[in-house]
Amino acid sequence: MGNINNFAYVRPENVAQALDFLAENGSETRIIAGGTDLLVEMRQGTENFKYLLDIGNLSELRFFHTGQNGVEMGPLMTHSWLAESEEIQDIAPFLAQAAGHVGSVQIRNRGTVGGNIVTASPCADTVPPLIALDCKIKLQGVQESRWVSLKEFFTAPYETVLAPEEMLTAIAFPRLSGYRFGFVRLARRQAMAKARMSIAVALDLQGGTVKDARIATGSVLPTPQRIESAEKLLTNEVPNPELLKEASKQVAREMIEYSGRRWSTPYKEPVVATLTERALKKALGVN
Amino acid sequence: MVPITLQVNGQEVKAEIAIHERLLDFLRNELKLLGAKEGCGHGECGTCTVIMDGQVVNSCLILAVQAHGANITTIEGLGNTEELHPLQESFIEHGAVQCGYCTPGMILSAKNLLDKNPHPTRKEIQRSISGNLCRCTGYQKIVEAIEAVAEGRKGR
Repeated sequence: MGNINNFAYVRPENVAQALDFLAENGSETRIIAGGTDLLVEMRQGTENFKYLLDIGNLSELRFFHTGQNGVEMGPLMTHSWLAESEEIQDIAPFLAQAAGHVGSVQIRNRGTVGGNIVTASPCADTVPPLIALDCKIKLQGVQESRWVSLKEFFTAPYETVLAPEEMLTAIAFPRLSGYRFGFVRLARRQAMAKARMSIAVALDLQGGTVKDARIATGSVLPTPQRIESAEKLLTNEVPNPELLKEASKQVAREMIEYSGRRWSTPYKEPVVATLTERALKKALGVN
Repeated sequence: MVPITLQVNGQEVKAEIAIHERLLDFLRNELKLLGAKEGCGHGECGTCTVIMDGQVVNSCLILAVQAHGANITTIEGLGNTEELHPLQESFIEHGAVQCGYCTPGMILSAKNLLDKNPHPTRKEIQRSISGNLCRCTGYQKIVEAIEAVAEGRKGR
């Protein structure tokens, strides 16, 4: 591989060893799991680290538990697993669907949900559904660990609150019983294309009334976000075509409010609204 | 240099490798297995596809050190000129090979699909090779070649 910097390869035997290493060398270390993003970066020769810490074989980070309250899983679960797991398809079908859109079969077999989160790309496919699920992630250091809400994890594109000595060790979300889910992404084609924009929706519909609405966006704002002003428009209302349109337009308005009117706005404004409307309709099972 | 041990096409291989060496480089340069090729070099074209622990992967996106302990199958592990794999035969019969650059990756993706799902639908076949680009035959003949094996029109 051309233009490569010198770095040392470190393969810890367990999470405790990995954390010890990070406590000493965290700021000079990159963690590698599946490597599907990192090797692209290394090929470009832009990487700048002294140590490569390979956590890919740590079985402690490859787990999945589900109970009445929800799901807890390890960061090494792959996109293929998420896409094909019957439990994920049952509990959070839109998460399975989003994971199934990542890259190609080859990428999904290696790429991990933890990597998708930590890399913090604005277009990470699994992140909007996870945010709609109110996902929390465990950031572990040698001394202490903390649970952080995923929607507060991202501070800017490719930037997060993860400290150099910390590592993502668990991903958890509650079981949203009775909710309906929708996920829509816009990309140039179905395979091997990054999402230009994506919308994940979770709706709790009781007796025809929306009791809880969650709308999470990818690549709409600088970081994946919930759009609360649009969610409020739907809450305690009976959905009708006008209401869905209005809530969808609100998502586009939030985008413009944040970013201002740009050269791309005449395109993005109606597209974001339409994607949201489609995601809401998918969740409601209407056309 | 780092020592690694892995299985490649059923044989144990021990080697000392440079840390930044990719699995693709290791297979081609050290083991002289030239079936997997470098196309794009960043996981978009699938011409470097190999099967690692029962799953297709892009060998250009894996460091050789990450393959320590793994079980790798390359196209060379499927068949040879005396005895072709049914997929290889079918690709030839259907004219699913033109320049041949994508073929090893295509066949390994197809094999991986049929190992897991012996009777896939056409859609499932298309999806299974969606990470493998072909720039000359088009995909029709490739899909037909895989379909023929799946339907038992080629002995397996």
